[in-house]
Amino acid sequence: MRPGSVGARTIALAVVVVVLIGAAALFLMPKAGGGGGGGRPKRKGIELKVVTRHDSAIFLLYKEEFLKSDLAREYNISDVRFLPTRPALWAKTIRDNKVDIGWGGGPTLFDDMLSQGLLAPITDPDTLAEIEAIPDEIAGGPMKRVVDGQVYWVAAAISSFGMTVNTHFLGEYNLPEPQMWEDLASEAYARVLPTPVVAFARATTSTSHTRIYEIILQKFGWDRGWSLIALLTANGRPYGGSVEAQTAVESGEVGVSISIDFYGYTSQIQNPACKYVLPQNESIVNGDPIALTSVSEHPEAAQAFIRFVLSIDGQKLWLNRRINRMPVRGEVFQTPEGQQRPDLYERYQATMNNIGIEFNDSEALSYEHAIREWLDAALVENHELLVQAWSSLVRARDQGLIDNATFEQLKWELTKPPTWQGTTWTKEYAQSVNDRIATDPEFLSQFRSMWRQAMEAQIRSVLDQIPPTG
Amino acid sequence: MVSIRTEEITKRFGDVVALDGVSLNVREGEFFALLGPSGCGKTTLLRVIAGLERQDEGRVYFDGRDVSDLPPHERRVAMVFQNYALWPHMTVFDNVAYGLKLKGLPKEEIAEKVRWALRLVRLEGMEDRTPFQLSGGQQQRVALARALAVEPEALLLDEPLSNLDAKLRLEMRGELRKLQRELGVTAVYVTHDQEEAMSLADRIAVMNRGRILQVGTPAEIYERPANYFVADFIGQSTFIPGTVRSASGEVYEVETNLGVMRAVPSTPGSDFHPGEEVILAVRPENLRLGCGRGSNEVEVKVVHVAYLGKHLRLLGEADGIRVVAELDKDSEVGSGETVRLCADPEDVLIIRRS
Amino acid sequence: MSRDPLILGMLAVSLGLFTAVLLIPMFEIVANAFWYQGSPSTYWLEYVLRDPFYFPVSAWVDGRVPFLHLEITTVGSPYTIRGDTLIISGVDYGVILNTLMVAVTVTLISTAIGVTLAFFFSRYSFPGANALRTAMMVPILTTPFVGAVGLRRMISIHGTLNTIFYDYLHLLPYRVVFDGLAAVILVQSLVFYPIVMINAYATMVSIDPTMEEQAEIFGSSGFKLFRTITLPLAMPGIEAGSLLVFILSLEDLGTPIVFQGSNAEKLLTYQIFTKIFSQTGLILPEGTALAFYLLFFSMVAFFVIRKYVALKQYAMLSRGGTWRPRTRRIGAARTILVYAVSLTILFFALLPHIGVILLSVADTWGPSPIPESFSLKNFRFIVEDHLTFSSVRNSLIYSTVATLIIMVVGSGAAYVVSREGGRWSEILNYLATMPIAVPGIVVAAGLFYTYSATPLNPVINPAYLLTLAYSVRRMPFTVRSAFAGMLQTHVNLEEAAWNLGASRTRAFFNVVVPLVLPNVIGGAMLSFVYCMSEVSTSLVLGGANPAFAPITWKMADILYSLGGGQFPTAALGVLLMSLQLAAIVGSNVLLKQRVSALVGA
Repeated sequence: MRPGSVGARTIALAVVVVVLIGAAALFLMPKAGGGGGGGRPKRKGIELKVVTRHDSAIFLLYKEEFLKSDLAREYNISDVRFLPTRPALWAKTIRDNKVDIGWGGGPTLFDDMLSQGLLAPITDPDTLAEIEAIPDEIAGGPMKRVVDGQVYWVAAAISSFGMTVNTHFLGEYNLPEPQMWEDLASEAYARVLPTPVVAFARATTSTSHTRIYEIILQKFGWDRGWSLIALLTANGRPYGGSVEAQTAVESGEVGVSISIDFYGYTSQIQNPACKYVLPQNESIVNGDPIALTSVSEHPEAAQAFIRFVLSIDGQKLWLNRRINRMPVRGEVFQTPEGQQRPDLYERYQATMNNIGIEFNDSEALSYEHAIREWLDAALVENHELLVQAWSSLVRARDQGLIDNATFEQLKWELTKPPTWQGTTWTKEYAQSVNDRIATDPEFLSQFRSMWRQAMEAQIRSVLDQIPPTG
Repeated sequence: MVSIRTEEITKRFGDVVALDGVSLNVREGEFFALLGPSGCGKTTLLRVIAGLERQDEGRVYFDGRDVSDLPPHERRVAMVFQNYALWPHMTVFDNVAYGLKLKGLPKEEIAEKVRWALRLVRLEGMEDRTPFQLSGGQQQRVALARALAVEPEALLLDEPLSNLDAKLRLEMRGELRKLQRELGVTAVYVTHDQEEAMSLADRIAVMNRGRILQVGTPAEIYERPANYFVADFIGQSTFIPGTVRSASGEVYEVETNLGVMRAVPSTPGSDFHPGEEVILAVRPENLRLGCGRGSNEVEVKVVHVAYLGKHLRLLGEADGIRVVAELDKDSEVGSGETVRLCADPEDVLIIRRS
Repeated sequence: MSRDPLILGMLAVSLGLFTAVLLIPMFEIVANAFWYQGSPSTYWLEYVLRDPFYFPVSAWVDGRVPFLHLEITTVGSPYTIRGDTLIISGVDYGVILNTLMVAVTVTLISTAIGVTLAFFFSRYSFPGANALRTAMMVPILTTPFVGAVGLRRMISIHGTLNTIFYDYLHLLPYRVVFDGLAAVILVQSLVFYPIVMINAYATMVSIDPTMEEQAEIFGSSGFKLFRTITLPLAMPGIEAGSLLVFILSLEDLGTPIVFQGSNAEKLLTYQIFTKIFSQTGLILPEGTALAFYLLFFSMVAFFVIRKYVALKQYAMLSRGGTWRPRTRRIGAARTILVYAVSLTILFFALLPHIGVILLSVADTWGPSPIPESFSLKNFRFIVEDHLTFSSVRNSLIYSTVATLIIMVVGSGAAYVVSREGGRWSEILNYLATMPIAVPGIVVAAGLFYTYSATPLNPVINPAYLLTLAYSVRRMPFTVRSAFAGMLQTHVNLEEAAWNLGASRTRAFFNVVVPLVLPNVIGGAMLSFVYCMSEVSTSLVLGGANPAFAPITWKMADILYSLGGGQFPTAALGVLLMSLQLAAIVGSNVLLKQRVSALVGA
């Protein structure tokens, strides 16, 4: 016998309410698409689907402008839906959702899609005409991917790679501002460890940071490059992605983050203490592609969108104050809108003039999977131990327990590409296992385990040689 | 009204045998009691009849119709539960009307029958109350009204009065019996209270450990217990173990530690052969101080005498055997004394040992 | 097992749902762990144990006493002092041992806190006791991601606490920073202690007072009485809460994610999250082997709860519910002590929430103790930003539909288990409460893997899988409360209806449903709330097609996006906290003292 029990009428009411909610739910249940297109299409036309790595600020702006344009009317396009999916799911997303266009995410992602047969060449003559106006390469970096005379992807925006510094943090700890990549390996930073100075992302979660590691490897050569990268990581802390790393430097949690340029520019705006630094002659220009997929059901309409993005009208949108990216077509800066952004124009010119390094795109591709997994396994997963060793080493030298020559030697021993049971981490080796890593999960696990243990052993052996410090 | 017959009902709960081949015959219109200690299976048997438990073996017949496989809602019997099982979220009216609604009767007819049933149990005017607003006795009557409202073919009652206080219980007993007679409905009544069974029932089945030990009228059960258990369970007795020596007609000579007794079989017509181990049972009221010719005598050491108003109750001991006797209230007997008590042969009943 | 269509129907629906949404995905993942190069093998399970990253223990036998030698290689030290900073990050014993050690430590700390507080509130009466007791339960409000961000703001090297206690008040000898495993332990203990507290309190309050009175007559009192009588009697309730905390600690993904970059990554949930899918979308057997171990540990704890604790606990609780509590007034000194202890704990426990609230109303917040300027723009953002708003809408829809499913299936399951015995009923009993012990990441990965080639493909539309995943994962709350309700609704009430001619189905709807509806709704409210704040499946499945993502996915997304993502995320966090608060209060009102049945075993 319980007080407050419910009568029949109340149950009936509850059931009605429940049924109503259920019906409403089914009715409102999000249907295929969304992401900027949640409303009903205004007229029954073509709905384009775009898979993208771009921010919502970007694609919402482009969608708005595109749908207003003549092009959209001409091709009877009533809606553009964006799927902001992570790279690992692009292939599946494209296939399962019959996506029309891929936009933004870096050249390697697009080359990957191309190799899986997911991209289709641009054939529409008007779009091709627009593409003609875009340079084939800028400062050594490719702006188009042409295979057998067919254009598969075109860069819509460009970016460079550098570092964002937080002057407040550096000032507080009395640390020098880095100008070049090698500055990130500085012993000065080691002195405040375990407080991290440099933010970096796991290569497996960030295409932009992977690019930076590749730049370092090609600029300094394989062996020295890895040593530098190892010291960079030892001076800092791994983050879950390029955005987390950027947020860390923006909020003053760290002093420096390696970053792609537009993140740096945005940080500068958000926090006056932040500053983007472009390492002179040590960077490259990256094109951020747009491409037509091979599974698109509306290739003509899709190419119309691509044409819009590549047109001057579309390119102008990069200059929007919330976006701050550099267009691939420099003539945009001569338009009225372009002239309102002298700051961006300045950066554009600085980027153009940055002669940069001789960057070999196909070489980067040839070992990309391997180096990403290697960095994760060997450096990130041994991070705490590496930090311990590096900071002890620096302290030992500061306290006079070891001399400079020993210091340099141990530093090299600590950070060089390790050898494990006869196999050394060389470029040739990385290239030889690259494909297997992408396709054979069992091999991948073994690969990671092997090099993680190799690096751990190397670190420990150096640790043993460092005298105990106070 | 139906007659109810069960045939070799067996029911197990895991390793426990709750009913062991129980066969029973309840006549139409009879008030039949199932009596026994807790755990004897009486409630289980009732639930099997109701269809709330499914028997492992055996069949159940209503008026010769095999209902063994029918689910409870198709058996057309009504049950009153020990805890009344009134629905707290319904009013008295709704509780009583529930079964009628299920039959699909028109609203006016339902209302009429509900009023009739409540009148029967003297609860008119309580239609709109909820169970919390009723006393224990009132709740019990609502449960009864609910069962009666559907005019069932049989009424099954599971210790319906056990939650009431003594005075109310007595009052309700009377009302229940009166109602049953008036309506002529077959009733099967489960209780552990022998006085209740004896006062209410036309016939009683005494049960223990899943078996029926004796079926009979209250008089038969009391005066002619079929075995030791019944004799012990119903009323009080003095039990004297012995061995049969000889027989002459109905009267047997039985050798006991207290001497040779002359006794008659409890169940008329049963035979005992010489050398058989038996128990002699004597009701307290049949042990007297004064002995006549041909009566049995025992020497009893008095342990305790209780003055009960109407009579004296004497507790004594004779050669290790506990003796209970009911004596006239003016008898002069004191504790510690040794007295001689007598019983006539027709009052000393022979029952089997098992 | 009766052959009644109602029972069979309920059984079929419940078993079907659990098989499709829980068992099959689990099996897919676990089976993967037992496969190597095309044939069944324990290779990957052994692999994990052999790799020092996961299990840096070497054992060998030799002639020296004690003959079996163990060597564990650790990384890091419990604390480090650099200049004016004390950094506490805990020692790394490898992923597997870390996970177990963290879980055990968190359990011990939560239990100590929870039992102490339960004792205060169940045995002492002092002004404001009721309000304080309710306040002590507030930390149970979860704030995925942003809670830890808020906490970091408070406890980081230049955060609020250090600034106040070191820079301004000079009370601390160092700036104290918690990081890594130590931070995870800190956060989890503070979040989970209410679970032990609720359970312990409910049990202590329902102990038969005569048992303690008896002991007092013999001269026992105070702590001795507590230790010898109260505590042992309350043990089943306490154990139920503690084991639940153990499991929740094992499965927690949100906290390690926030402290990533430190040795907090070396916990099983985090490793599985990052390793179960490779960069190219393949399932990594290493990840599935780890998932197997995590599942194994949770299941063991779960079965211990079921077998040894749940029965005893129900026996205690079923004895008539709430007694008149045996409290005594305490003097001023004790009252102050109680408040001091409670408020200190509460302060630390509420740091994340305070951090979140501050973040949500902040305009800018650099490295200073509190925001430099305030604004409500973060809340406006939720409504104005289309994707964020739709994520809130998505979550509401998924959670509501899931809760409806939970109510229907959960009641059915509770009915079958409470009314029927037999093998199927037992199986259903375990299935209905087992989801607590299955780590969300395992369910998520399994669902993704199993259904990605079916119409339920999450890449096309994760709405369906998400809703189903929520229904299964959050069902236990409703099942438990429905079950408790059904136990209290005597079967006689149904039998009376059958007897009068109602079929079982009709009797179920006429009699059982009205009487247990308050219990079901009470439990359903909690289910709803935990659906809204669910993390693992939301991240994995919602991330498959972000347009359909729920609120927790969006929180992570915004948080890790540029331009001060912490602030709008915090606003979302405040929204979630308010919803949870409303649901808990509503649930409390409906169930009164039966809250313990919800978070107990």
